[in-house]
Amino acid sequence: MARRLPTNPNEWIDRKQSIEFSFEGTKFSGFAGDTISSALLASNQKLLGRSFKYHRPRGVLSAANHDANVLLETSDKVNIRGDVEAPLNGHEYYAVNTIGGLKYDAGRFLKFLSALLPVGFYYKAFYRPRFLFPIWEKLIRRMTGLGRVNTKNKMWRQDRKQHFCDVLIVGGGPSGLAAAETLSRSELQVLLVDENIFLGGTLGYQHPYSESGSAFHKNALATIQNSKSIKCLTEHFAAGFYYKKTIPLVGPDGIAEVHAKSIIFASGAYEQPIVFRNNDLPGVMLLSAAERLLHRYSVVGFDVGIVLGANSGSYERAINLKLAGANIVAIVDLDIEAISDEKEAAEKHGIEVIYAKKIIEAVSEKNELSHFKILTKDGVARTMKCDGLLMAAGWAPASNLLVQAGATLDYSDELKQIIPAKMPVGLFAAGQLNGIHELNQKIQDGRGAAAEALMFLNKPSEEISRPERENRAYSHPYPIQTHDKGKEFVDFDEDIQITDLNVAWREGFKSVELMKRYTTIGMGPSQGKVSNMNGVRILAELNKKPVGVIGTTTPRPFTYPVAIGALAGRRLRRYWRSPLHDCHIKANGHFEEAGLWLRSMTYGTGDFNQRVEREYATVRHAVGIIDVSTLGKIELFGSDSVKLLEYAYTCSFEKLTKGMTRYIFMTDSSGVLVDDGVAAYLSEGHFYITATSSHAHAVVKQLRLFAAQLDLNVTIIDRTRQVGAINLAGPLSNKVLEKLADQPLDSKTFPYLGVRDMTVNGIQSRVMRVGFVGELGYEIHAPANSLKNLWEALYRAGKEFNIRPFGVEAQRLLRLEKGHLIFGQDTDGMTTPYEVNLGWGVKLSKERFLGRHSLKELKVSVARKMVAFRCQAHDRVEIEECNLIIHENDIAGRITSVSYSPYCKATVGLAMLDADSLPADDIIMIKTTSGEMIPAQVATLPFYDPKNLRQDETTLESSS
Amino acid sequence: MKESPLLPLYSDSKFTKKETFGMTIASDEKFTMDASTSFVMDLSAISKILVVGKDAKRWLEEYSVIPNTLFGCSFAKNGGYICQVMADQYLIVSDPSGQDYREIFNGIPSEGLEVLILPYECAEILLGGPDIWRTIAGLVMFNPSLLSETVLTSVRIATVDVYAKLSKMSSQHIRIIMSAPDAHFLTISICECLGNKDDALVGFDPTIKL
Repeated sequence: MARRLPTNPNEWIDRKQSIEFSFEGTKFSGFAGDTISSALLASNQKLLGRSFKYHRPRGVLSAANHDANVLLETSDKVNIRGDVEAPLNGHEYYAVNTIGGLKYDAGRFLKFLSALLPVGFYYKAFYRPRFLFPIWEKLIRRMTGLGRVNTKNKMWRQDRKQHFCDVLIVGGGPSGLAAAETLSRSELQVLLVDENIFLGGTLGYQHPYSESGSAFHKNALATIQNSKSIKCLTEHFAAGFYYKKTIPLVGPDGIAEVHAKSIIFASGAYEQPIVFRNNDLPGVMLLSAAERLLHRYSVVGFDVGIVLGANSGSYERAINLKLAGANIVAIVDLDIEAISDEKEAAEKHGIEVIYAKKIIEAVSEKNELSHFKILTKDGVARTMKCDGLLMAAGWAPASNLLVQAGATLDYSDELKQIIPAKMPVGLFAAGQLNGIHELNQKIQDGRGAAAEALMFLNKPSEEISRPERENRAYSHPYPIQTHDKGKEFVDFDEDIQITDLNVAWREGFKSVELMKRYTTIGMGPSQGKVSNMNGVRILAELNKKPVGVIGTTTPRPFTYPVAIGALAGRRLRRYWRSPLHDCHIKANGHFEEAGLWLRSMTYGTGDFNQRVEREYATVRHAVGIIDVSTLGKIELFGSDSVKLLEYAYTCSFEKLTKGMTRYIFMTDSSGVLVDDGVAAYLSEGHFYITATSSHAHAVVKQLRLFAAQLDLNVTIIDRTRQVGAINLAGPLSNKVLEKLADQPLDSKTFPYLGVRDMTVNGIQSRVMRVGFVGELGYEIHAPANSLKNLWEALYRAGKEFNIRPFGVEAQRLLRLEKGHLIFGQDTDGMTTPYEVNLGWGVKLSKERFLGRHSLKELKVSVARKMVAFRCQAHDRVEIEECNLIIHENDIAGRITSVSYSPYCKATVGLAMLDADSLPADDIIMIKTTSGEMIPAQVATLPFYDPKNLRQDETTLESSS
Repeated sequence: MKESPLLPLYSDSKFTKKETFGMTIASDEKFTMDASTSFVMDLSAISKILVVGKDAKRWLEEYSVIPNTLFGCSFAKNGGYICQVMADQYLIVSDPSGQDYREIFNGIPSEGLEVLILPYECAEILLGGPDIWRTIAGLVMFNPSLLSETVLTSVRIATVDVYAKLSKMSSQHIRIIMSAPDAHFLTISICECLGNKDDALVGFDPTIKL
């Protein structure tokens, strides 16, 4: 029976803090510092999970998450690793992969179908007869998967942090501590990481009675604690190795990405199981699992324990376990003659030593280990009663990250273990990972690795030599015992037995890579930590080749499963707020994202169309105010400013006079339209230009590039986010502005397209008379932090004129009636100026400008044409942007802009048509989203105010 | 009257808003540094100007020592600093307790000199306390130990392009200059990462030593 021992001085649990939780509906308790597995085992709960394929009963195997036997779920978290995660107060845990609960799992009857489920069965079975396959598919899908994700869970965030260090040490066991201690004497920044809550590794459980080990442990911890240059990160595991020595360390609070100049790997080794019949029963575990449980959590997982010793060191460990309080009654020695003092020492401690010729099987009673049958060396069959079978067959290095980093591995015939052969520059292996098993040698090896790291980093270092590997087998060469009735598990995750590997080999999958993929050995959650080595040994035996020749597969990241939330990290979804954001909220603005900007589309109450038409009417008949702070704003200053503009833009600036603006656009070198805006000539060598919101940054970059390429004397200052802008538009806009401006606004002093620097409400501003929406209007540019003041002042001044804010949607409608394009909406990645009636803005006679050569050719061969259209019906028509134009049963173009025009009392828009599809009768056919075909009349632009009378206050009245 | 871009974050009634250096800003004249808690202070009221042009350096040298390297800072005797942020572009940052640079450079450059003086509208915060390095590690992709008090480093914090430098008074304080539209997002992101996020925001203390 499993139980909790009295307090031991090195235990990790805090018996003063008890934790209450439930497992499979039954209440349990543990202590702070327990893992879920240790707390359950302390209460004699040995059945902890079901295997994935056959739903066999499973318990603790490694107690270190080197296997996937104990995977649990709660209502809000799935695939909880019971061996390493702590139980939380009040939480209800359940085993994954069960049907109807763990104890009476209905899936356990699959064992009767095991003959139908051989390795690779999904390639061979169930697909004939074909009509049955959908049924099998549904059934198999229901059986697969581990855990259920609760999609109603509250989202949680974990940070991804960046760390930088000179030396990263992966593993805080004896070698890692020794390396850190050595490096503490240098001034290097060192990060020591360990997956456990405390540092020490095997010191705490495999060498508990070593006096030198304890002294070293204590001193090393004190040195590290007192060092300013060493940081420790416990409860983090190294998930993988990435480019330029970057290693993500995954911990309870998220991922810490470490960028190291050099790395010492001291990650130890995974103890390997012995393969025999029923080696997967609850109660059968690795010897290191029993050691961890006892020394860390004071839990003994059995009443009567037998150690299956198949390698050097197992005797000493069995004795230590007995001394610590576990009832070890025997060591079953598999074919290895113990040296006489080890056998004597074991017998002195009341442990019988039995030499076994063969392991027959483990036997269960009520889903737990009850007996163990062997054939002794003398050929006698023996059955031993026990509820704990502790396997000690050898080690496989925790070399995942080494291999990912490009290290090569070799098989040592002396050690019977895989060891690093060649390490990449700047990376070092130490300790058990490096094939060093004896404690003092592990410490020496760590110190040696640190010295090598110091030399690599060109720091002074004392000469510390690495110990020679012992000429002694710490691993059994073939810990695999077959049985006629099978059920000798090689891979516990995927329920792979010896027979499965035999079948795969017979079917031609003879290389380690093919064997892996066909049988799925090593592909489960534990990624072959406790199965790959035995698989390689079996394959070597089948192929009659040495293990070293067979090789191993490459373990991919991650070392242990990583939650997707940890990979996602903190969600940083950036946005830009206009300086007037709060004003829009106050005016009940309806926001949408426009690139990074949050812009108000409409204001107020009512449905969408009502809001848009209300704002439209305000601009057409009174005065509207819109926030256009998102516009790109660029200041050019220098004697070559004009040269730069002449090169970057297609038009000529010859006739542009001081105090005036003009419309500008640029193309790329192939003549495709890129961006448009307004250029204002302020003074000699001083221009102010605007760009579209989405292209502002690109335009600045482009101008800087041209200035550098052409070696021009011009300073380019991006003022997009330093300056805000407000557009005042409508027939009464001048009346509002003149209340606040310190300069006259009449057309003689300040003509249409003029620009003036003036103060508005005492704020230094730049005002341009522009007419994007087709009304008398002023675009006021002012410092961002003063813009709110300006907006509020204009609003107050406009109250008597019924001023109202208008949003992007109303602006789109207003400019559409005026026939003004929106780049990126009415143009695409192929549109040239000649396709959209902007040919007048291309001055081919200029000596050079970007796109000139292409535009010269494009002028004579225009592939498409933009047309305006007006629907014949007078009510709203449900046409949307990107609806197709159909001509002679073929696609002839698409709609780029469309809206119901209150002025025209019809739906109007712009469309891009193939040049050869221009209808002779001026009727285009529009196919709506619902498939309806709607005729529309080609129209002349602009729809509104064709004589441009509205944009000048002197002609405004005559336009009515 | 100007308004700090961070003012919307100080809507809680516990903050006093007042005019400081021509800007409405949340104010905290009683702010005391506590080594155990992290804070984010709005420094947007500290005025800044941009002096640009081919002759900018020549003209500025009449008033002050000019840094020779890009992003290098030279500190004026009366506080504040000058930093070259691009070729022919110099950022002049005032000090809250010193003379406002706008007064020094109110003079117009003489004719013939290609110099333009522009206001530099932005937001600035001071991030201080024990949590800041951990916070920064979670929001940046660079090694924060590269920040210094004599260099205005152009970096990205939480995906936002900013200028950052350590305060001269303490290596546990980072000054971050960002654009006004970015201010809301970046400040909230930083505060969210701090241990005491609900109390992290503090008002501007014009007596603070930077």
